[in-house]
Amino acid sequence: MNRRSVRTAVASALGLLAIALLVCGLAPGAQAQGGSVPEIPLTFRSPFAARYAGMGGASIAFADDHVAVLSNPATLGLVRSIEVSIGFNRQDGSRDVTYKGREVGREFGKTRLSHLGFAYPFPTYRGSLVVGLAYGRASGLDSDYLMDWDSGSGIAERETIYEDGGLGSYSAALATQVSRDLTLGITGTILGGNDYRLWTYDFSDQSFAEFDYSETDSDFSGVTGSVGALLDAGSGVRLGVVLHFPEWIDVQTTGEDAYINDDADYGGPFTASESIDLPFRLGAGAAFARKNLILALDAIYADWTQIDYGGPMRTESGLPAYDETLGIRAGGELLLPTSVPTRLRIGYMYDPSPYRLVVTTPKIEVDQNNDRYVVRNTEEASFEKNRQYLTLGAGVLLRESMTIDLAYMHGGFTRASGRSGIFKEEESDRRLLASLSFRLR
Amino acid sequence: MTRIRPVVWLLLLAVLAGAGCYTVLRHPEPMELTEEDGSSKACSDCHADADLYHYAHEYDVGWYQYYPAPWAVYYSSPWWYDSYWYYPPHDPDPGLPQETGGRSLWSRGSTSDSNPLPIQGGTGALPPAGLTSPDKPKPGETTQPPKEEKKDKEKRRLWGR
Repeated sequence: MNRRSVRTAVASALGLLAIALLVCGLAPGAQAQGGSVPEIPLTFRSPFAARYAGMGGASIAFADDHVAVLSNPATLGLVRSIEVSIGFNRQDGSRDVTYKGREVGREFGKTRLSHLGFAYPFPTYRGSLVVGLAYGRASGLDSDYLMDWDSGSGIAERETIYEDGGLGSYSAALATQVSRDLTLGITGTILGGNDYRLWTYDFSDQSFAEFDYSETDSDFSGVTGSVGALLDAGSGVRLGVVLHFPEWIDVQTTGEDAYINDDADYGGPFTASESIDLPFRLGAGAAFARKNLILALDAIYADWTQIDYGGPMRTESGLPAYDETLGIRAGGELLLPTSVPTRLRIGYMYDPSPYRLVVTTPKIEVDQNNDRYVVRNTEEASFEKNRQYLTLGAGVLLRESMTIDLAYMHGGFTRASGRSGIFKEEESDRRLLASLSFRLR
Repeated sequence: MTRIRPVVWLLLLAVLAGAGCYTVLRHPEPMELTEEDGSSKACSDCHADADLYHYAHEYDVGWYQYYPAPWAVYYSSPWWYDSYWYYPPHDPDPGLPQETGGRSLWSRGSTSDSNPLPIQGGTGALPPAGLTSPDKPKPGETTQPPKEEKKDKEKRRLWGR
């Protein structure tokens, strides 16, 4: 039986005791974890569909297809044909971690359904009335992380995080033209998804050793919605605004954790029922059409300091662990009058991470029972490069009713521990999106 | 869930209420769409804003005029256009007399300048180009009105380290 199996067996045997201690708030693991402010990966929203991914995600003022259900329901009112669409996303990422001078990395990749959509415009004499249904993979949670350091003199740390899952939006939208130039829309969304996560942390020095792990399966369910407006300003200019309501997400988790060290062992199987509230997001966009050319620019603001996950997300010193963010998405599309109608795209997306902290060095603390346990310090993060992407895309129109679009996104971020400089993480993210849309005529 | 429900209902009502302001799903009563001689009225006979109606103007032609013709058709042509409003110019019923000067359903008349579609690639690329010479219904035959659509709570278990 290897070391991990022994530890797992010990953890299971002590499960009942651990639960009792957890309830009483005596377990060091609970104290350590309860004091930390986790990084919630649901704050990053990547573009769903290839057309808009190729334009840096800009879509608020001109998404005249089913994607409007997810980006700005008002632009759904521009749809004139019954449309069905499907899209996939291939993600290849890597996370390179440099800790106390040692660099290690992990790569990961997944292919997922990114969106599925349907739009139905009602026949009208004047104006528009359009309904739409869409599924979008709102937030991908696939990730793999490794930090590994050994001093060579009996002090060592190793942390792994493997995560597999995502949060999806199941949305229905309605849009209508309320004046010659103004269209309004509304979306109602049910959120659903799951997440498998395995976290391990191994620490040892000359006098103390601890091994922690947590393996969880979580199911997400929640609701949200959005309202949007689109103004046709004339002369090939459109202006859009969208307000995404807060996302109220319930999380049901089953799992097992263990905190095993030289003084005590805690942990065991558990279930948890939690809720996460993510704040409003406000987006505004402009789009400009010129001969064979579309230019689009979006700005999206969110005050992530209002995240509520078991309480406000603040550090022990009372500072917000999350920041406000203003994301920028810009892109252009060139429509070529070729025999096979083709369009080319380029874009840029800046979507800064709202999480202000990084986890750094361990420290050993003592609980009420005089048992030692490991706590991880955090520091304010400094970003050498915040999350941003360059994007490219292309699409063709076949037989006047079918479009095929491809997009490639390449980006990531680099952050470090601002004060000590002993931790640095570089995430690289490459995505290939493909979408197929068919319009019934 | 309970917090968002009232907001959603209010906004839904607002949108539906707004639909009555501008968007017209069906022709308002009375639906007197034919002249005494059986020919059809044009929208402009009754509606001062007839140029906003779809058969006369493709939707958002201002925006899609910048698109090459195939893309403009893909995005701007209503799917119901053919079956509801459009009289195919190249598919007349040979048994019917061809009208040259009258009015068909919601026609704006046979004028040389009535093509409303300044789309790149030529207006012939778009279906509505044929609207200037619609077919006249048989004498005594009523013009078909448009079809109507039927209607452990404090603890953060996840992402902890």
